[in-house]
Amino acid sequence: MRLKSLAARIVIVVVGLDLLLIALLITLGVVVARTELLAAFDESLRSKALSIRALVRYDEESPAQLIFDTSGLPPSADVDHPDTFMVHLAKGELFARSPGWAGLPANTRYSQNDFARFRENGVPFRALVLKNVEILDREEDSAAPPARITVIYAASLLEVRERVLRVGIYSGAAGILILLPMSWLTVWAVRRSLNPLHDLAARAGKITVRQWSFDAPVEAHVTPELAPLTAALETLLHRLHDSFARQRQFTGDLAHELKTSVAIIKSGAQVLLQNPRSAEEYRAGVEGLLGDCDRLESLVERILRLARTEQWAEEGKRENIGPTELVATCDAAIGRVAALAAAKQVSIKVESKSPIQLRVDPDDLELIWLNLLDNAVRHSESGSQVTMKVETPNANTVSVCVEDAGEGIAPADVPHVFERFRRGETSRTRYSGGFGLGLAICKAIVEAYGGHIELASAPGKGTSVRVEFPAAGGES
Amino acid sequence: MRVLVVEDEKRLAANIARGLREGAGYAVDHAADGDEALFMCGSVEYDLIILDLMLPRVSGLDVVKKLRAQKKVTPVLILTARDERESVVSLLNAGADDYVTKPFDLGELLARAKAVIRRGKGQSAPVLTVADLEVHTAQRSVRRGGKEIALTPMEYRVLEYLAHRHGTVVSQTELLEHLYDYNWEKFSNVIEVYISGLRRKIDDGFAAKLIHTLRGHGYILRVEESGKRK
Repeated sequence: MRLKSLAARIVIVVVGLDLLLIALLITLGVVVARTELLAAFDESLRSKALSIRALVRYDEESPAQLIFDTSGLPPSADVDHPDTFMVHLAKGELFARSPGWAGLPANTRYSQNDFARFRENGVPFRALVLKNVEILDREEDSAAPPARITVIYAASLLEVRERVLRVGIYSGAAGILILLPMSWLTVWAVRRSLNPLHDLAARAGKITVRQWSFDAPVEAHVTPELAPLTAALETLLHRLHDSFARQRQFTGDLAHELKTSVAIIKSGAQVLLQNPRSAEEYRAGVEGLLGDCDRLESLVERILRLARTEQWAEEGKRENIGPTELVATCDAAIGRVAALAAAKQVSIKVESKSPIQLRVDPDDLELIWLNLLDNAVRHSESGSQVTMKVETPNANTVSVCVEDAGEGIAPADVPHVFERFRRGETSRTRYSGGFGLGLAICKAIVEAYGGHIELASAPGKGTSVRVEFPAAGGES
Repeated sequence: MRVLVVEDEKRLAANIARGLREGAGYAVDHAADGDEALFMCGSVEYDLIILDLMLPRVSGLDVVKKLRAQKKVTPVLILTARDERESVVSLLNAGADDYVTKPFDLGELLARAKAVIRRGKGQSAPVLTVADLEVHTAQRSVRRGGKEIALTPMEYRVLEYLAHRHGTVVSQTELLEHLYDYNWEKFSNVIEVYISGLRRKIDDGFAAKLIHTLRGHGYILRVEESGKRK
């Protein structure tokens, strides 16, 4: 199972590494101790073998005869498992041996420098074999070379083993004794160093829709690991807050528009009922009320349209759409504002070089042009001209510019034109049917297709709105 | 009574104006934004301002603040689509007299308009009484000595205004200003006609005369001491 807690992971890694380090140290200690102890053991083995070698002497009475002087036998270090030895003469015949020892057993393993190992009754022994060495005793004035013997001397390794084991146990115990407080310290330190994270979480936990203020702990800003998270949190909150405020503003504006529309209809009906009236007056009143209802209906339609378009943009749905011919949609939109343009005596002209394909729903395109042309015509002087310029500034972009020579927009209002329910504050009264949603809808549609819309205006000279779409590209 | 309706929604303003004219017999002017409203308040003395809260240029709240800063005491009735407590509280604190939330009931709007006008003239009861003359502003009816008197709408409007200001001299110009929304100059000679009609209907047959003419100053509605002696 994978551990979920970060603190637990860190503690486990640190304590694991501690454990590994301690194990390494113990191993090193044991190896060094064993090497040292073995060297000392070998030294004593060599000296003891030498003593055995020295115990082989010429008999003083019959000088050619060799005797083994048992009086000077070296003492065994391990009394329970006494040392054993064996002396052979040059020709291989047995000369002397410790009591009851049958010599090197079959399981003996020899190493290069005259040493060998074997087990006897489960006890490990180490033996030194001095092969064919001269005896140390010298016969006076004898020309013959001194006799040669082979000495095997073996001693129990148990004590060395026990000592090595003890070194291991002691250092292991010491390691564990160190490890315990270290682990505790690690847990404490890790927890403590995670405190800023807990603080941050606690502060972040206090944020609600009513309580937006988020003052991150100072440490969260200073800590390099937390600073990006803190900054991201703050940015996110800021954006969320803005979006909430915008949403609230929109809802408030929407409520205002709806209530106003309802108020118009209600007061209109009540005025009609206030006094007795002639049939013609009632008829005119009801017709007025129907007009008011149409206005309310178009408000609701526009809001739904806006909401749907923004939903597309969020869901990213507007991508796999077949190509549409752009200029035809411009012509269709111009056809729909023709009546209004004729009434205001405004002419509309399209400037385009060749048909252009765009991957945009034709109805959406037509709605954009319709909104832009409607605005342009309404704000144009009688007798002036509105121009639609279709251009391809580069291979990846298609741009459409709707220009009028109307009254223009005050510079202070330009940054807000795409906001919902915005109307130019300069107009003395609302023009009929305007809710300040047209440009907001255009922006939402254009952006849903990955396009861009911008407005430039000079008061008294005119306004131009530029829409850019990504070109249909090579996929078609 | 002359009322200024400040509302940027033309259709709504037209409905309110028509309701006030037909339902209460008030003269009504219309302003479409805050600037226009302030300008009109500077040139005409209104009996009531009905003010939309969300206006182009100068907001309703700012209009109230500016009016009160200019020491104008004209009653202000706010039309608001917002019903949040804070905005209502800040409006009343800024000097508005009452408010109606959209969508409102036209009858309620008229009743509140009448009440605010009454209170603005120091009358809190809907019945204005001068001696034994009673002017019922809610029903727009007049009684003297318990007897119902039938008046034409214009006669009633003249009498109601005089009754609101009873005891003080009201000039012919003031009457004209408060009874007609515009071009009142062309009606200047009709006031005398209404006054003589009122005299005939209200004072004839009663010992105490209530309507008096102060030559060169105007008219006054009051109980004349000399009349009692007669």
